[in-house]
Amino acid sequence: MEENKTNTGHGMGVAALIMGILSIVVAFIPCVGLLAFFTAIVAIVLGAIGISQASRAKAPTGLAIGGLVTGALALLISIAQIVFFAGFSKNFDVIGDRLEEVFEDVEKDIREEFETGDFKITIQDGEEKIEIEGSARKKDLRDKLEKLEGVELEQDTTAKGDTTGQK
Amino acid sequence: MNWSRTQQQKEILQGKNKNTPGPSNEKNTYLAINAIFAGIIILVFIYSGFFCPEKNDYPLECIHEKITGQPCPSCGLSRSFSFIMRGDISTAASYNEYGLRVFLFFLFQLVMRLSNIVYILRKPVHLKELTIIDSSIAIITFILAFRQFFVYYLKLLF
Repeated sequence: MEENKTNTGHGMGVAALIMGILSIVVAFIPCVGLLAFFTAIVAIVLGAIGISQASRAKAPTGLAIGGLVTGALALLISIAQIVFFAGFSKNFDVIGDRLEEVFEDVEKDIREEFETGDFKITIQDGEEKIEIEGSARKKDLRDKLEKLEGVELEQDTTAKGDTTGQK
Repeated sequence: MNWSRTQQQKEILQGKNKNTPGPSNEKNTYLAINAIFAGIIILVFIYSGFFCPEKNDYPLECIHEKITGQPCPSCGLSRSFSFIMRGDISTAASYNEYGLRVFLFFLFQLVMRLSNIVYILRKPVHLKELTIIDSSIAIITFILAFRQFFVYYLKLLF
């Protein structure tokens, strides 16, 4: 008995195959791999429609299946990329938070250092040991300078500060 | 016994009946697929030739670099293609080391598609065998041309 096969779903199958192959090529180029996500979905949809149309009319489904498979492969590759990017952005947030913490710590340390301003240098060579203690505090430095020069600098500096403030 | 062919059988063999699959319809499908891919590859070459690598005015930007801030193995591929189209192979290689290989893949595919079209139109062919050979060659050349990108993806995932 002669089997009367039709050509239904053929066009959809061809379109699905072309979109699927294109999606694979695009998916394997890292720069534009994410775009393959959309073309792969189009290929899968066209392939599915092609298969359903062809199987209803008992027509060959080879091309539509080919389109569906290539589209699915491209979709997997692009999803892998999306997963990587999602992971990266999550890590980036963690790295960002950590960096912020580090900056805050450093800022705090610097502030504390300048507030106390005391320092101690120890030089040791065998049994010999020399210790130098000092202070980098602004107030202490001014007192020392006043002692050395015998002049009160406080008023001068305040006046200077005022003039600069006005400028 | 009636040896004469029915009108439908004649139409199938001549490819006139669009709703019935037959040798001529398969041939037309194969021709159409080859022609579409040849057209797409020609468009890629036109894109590469049209945009100027010095101006860097390409409409497509690297999504990978935008998200991660790091360049990917395919960065500079468009500029590399543009330089190859202008005959400057050494500068093309400096923009992307895989550019020439990928370009050769597209060029080879274009030659394959066009020669397939000519071959099918001029000679009666065994379409099934030709399709299998064509697909195998395309897959092998694709893997050879894009292997660095495969490796990159594998490194990303594992």
